[in-house]
Amino acid sequence: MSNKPSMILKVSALSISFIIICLGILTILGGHITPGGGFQGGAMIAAGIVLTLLVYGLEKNPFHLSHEYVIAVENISALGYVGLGLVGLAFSGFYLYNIGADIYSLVPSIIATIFHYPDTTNAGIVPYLNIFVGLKVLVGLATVAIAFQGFDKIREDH
Amino acid sequence: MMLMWGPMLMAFLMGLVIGTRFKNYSYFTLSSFVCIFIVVIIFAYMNGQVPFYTGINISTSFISAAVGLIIGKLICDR
Repeated sequence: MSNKPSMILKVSALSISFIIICLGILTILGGHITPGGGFQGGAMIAAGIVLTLLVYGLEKNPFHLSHEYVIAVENISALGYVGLGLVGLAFSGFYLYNIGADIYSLVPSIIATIFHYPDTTNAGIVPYLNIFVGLKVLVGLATVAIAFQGFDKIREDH
Repeated sequence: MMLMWGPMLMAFLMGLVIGTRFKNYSYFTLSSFVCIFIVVIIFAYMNGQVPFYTGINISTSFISAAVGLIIGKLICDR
């Protein structure tokens, strides 16, 4: 039996991964009021990328996650999370204080307005934290899958 | 009817970030993207008002994510 993916898989995998990625983004953005959040949504997006990786292989994968891209997204996500925490520390004295919601009225209103998330809930910085966590999980899990595929290739070459 | 622009904008940006990594693939032409976008609209309609339950009867974040993915692919055409 051949290990090569069939034509049906080749045609459908990218379409399915497209839908899975959109659903992952939806999960991240609803994380503050519905089940799910940054980690779950990021894992869903990574699952979409892993699906294409399994079907098309490492070299023909339509999602080209380069080393620089992974580093950039990982760094921006980590620094964004820490930065939001430090903004809370600077204005309220508490690390990761929710300056967008500001339920204890500790920060100036202009700062609270800047970090307010525009939706029906008074979520503040929680959706932004979810987005940063989601991006970090996405590149982290995708990198693990890419590394395993790379190890397989090295083993086959030897 | 209330349209939430915060999640729409964030979904678009996240879609854009991921969509820039799309490479051209022989089985996946422009018509495939049109087909997928129709599926996305149906999917968003079946999803309903997720996650806010106050706006129009379609998941606008889902559509924004798809639009971001497609525009990201078109901007960084590899």
